[in-house]
Amino acid sequence: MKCREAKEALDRRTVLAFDEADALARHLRACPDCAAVARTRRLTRLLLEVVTAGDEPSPYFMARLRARIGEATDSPVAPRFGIRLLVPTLASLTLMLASGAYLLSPPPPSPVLSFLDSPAGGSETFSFLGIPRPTHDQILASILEEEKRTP
Amino acid sequence: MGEGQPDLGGQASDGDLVRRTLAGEQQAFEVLVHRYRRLVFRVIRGMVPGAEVEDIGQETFLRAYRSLGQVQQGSSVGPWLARIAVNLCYDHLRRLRWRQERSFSDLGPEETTVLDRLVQDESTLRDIDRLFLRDLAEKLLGQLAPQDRAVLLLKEREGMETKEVARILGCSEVAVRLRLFRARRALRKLLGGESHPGGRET
Repeated sequence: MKCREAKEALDRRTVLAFDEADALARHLRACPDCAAVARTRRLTRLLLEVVTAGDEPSPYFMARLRARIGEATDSPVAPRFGIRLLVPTLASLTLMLASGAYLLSPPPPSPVLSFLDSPAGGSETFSFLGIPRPTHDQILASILEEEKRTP
Repeated sequence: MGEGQPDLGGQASDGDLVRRTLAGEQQAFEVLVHRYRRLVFRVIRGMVPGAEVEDIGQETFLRAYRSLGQVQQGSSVGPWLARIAVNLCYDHLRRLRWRQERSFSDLGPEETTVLDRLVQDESTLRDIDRLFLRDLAEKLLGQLAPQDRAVLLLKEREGMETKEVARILGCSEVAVRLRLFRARRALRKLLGGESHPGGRET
């Protein structure tokens, strides 16, 4: 038996045939490298057995699980294909409709432009801290007044 | 529904039990829990130490219940549950920063001596206290990256095929082989008579 065959045999989980087991044993006696591999494999499996060994889950395991399942939902979530697609599809459609409505709607009037366009200067709707906004005429009058005062 | 083992569906296939659970028969899910609890607990114990095992087991089955509709028709529930358990263990280890907390230099002189004896002669295992041995085994396996440890556990302990391990861990078969090689090499360094860093030097 060659080293490669020995390692393959060591990897196998099934019981080896008598001839193969005999050949492997002879090879391991003659080859320190493969013997070290074999020992490591045995110890590794042993360590894993030690680590994974344990008692059954506690007697309350199933009762706790039942309670948690009951809290979470009355029945298991069975994500059917249609339902799984429905939620994201509806969300995307809503988003698209909202975006479209926003883009197609006329832009809101600019406060500055609406002020300049309004004949009365919008004094009743545009005030700051309750002080009525001056009208066009009042602003123009104050500018003229200022110009007159300027030498 | 009694506290003991559920009586129904002992011979029922996984697919049948899944269908019945989805139809609202909670007892069918309990048969699945009963059928796979040992596998799930072995996987969790192999990945994380101590007290959290039962909680992660609970979370595994709860998540499984919530997403049972994802089980593909005709496939076994076991590997799917193992995958949920492994992912939860990864999350848990990430939170713990397990690898940073444990290192081989944590081994005390007594542990190093036992390990040396064990390497020389496996029959000494019988004389070693089980709790002590368990702690030692956890420290040694704690040297491995969680993914490498998962591969080692599923291959060496559960005897799964490379293909199945790849499916459970969501990686390629090449990645499984690579991780197995890395895990074995690391353990061979620790167990194969090479020098034990920390243990012998300190």
